[in-house]
Amino acid sequence: MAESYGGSAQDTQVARLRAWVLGVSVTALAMFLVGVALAVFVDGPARPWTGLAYVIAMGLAIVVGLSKTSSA
Amino acid sequence: MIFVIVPLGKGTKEVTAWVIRVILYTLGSMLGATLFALLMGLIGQGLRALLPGLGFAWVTALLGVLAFVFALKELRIIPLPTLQIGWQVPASWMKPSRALGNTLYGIVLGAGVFTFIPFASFYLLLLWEISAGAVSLQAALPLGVIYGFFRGLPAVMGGISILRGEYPLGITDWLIAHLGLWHAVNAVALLLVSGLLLGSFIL
Repeated sequence: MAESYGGSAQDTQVARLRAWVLGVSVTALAMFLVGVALAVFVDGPARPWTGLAYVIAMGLAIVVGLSKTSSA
Repeated sequence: MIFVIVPLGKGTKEVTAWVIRVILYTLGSMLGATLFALLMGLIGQGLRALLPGLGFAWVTALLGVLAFVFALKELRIIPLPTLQIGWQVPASWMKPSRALGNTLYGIVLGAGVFTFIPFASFYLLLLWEISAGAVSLQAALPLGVIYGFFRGLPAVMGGISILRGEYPLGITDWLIAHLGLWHAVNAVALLLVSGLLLGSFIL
């Protein structure tokens, strides 16, 4: 019985790991493709100070600002 | 922080006073973050003068690689050391005047580098401010303003909750209770940024 519970927990952990790796890979690939599209259709490499890349930097500033709330 | 700005047990007659203190704290946070963004931008300008041949494509690639590395740190895949000063703003700053003390708290906490830095994404934001500032200081400053505003926003929301008779630390408690999830949110944000920058660089 105990072995069965142990095996089940291990299976769940492996399934979570797989889902996590898949999720991260798909997310990274999706944004990689967005970057490629940006380079093709807009204005070459994403300049960190202009256009879409700058909008993303603003989003990052929001995430970081709210995140730091948990530290003080 | 919210209990420093809005002490518990105070009557409604002091609402005006704490509203002013919350506003001063948030403005201080924005000022501190903006001044630090200005400093980062000036460093960017200096680096650009020192390395005139460094093209923006390489800056894009560098930020993309670092964003990926920081994402791996957030996901605890690679154990990078966290450079931070574990300092806390002293309560004695409140003694001369609560308004002044709250403003100073905001400025110091808004700058971001003098206290704990539990999220690697903060470093990417600083690097982005340097990169943007290298081209234009005006581009670096809004990043600081936005960061500072959202750094101070939970205090404003906490104050509003107190006014409504609700528990004021909803957001902060949620963040602390779900720290793992919040690290994952940061990791995903960093992966998005990394993918965008590296994808556009490779072409």
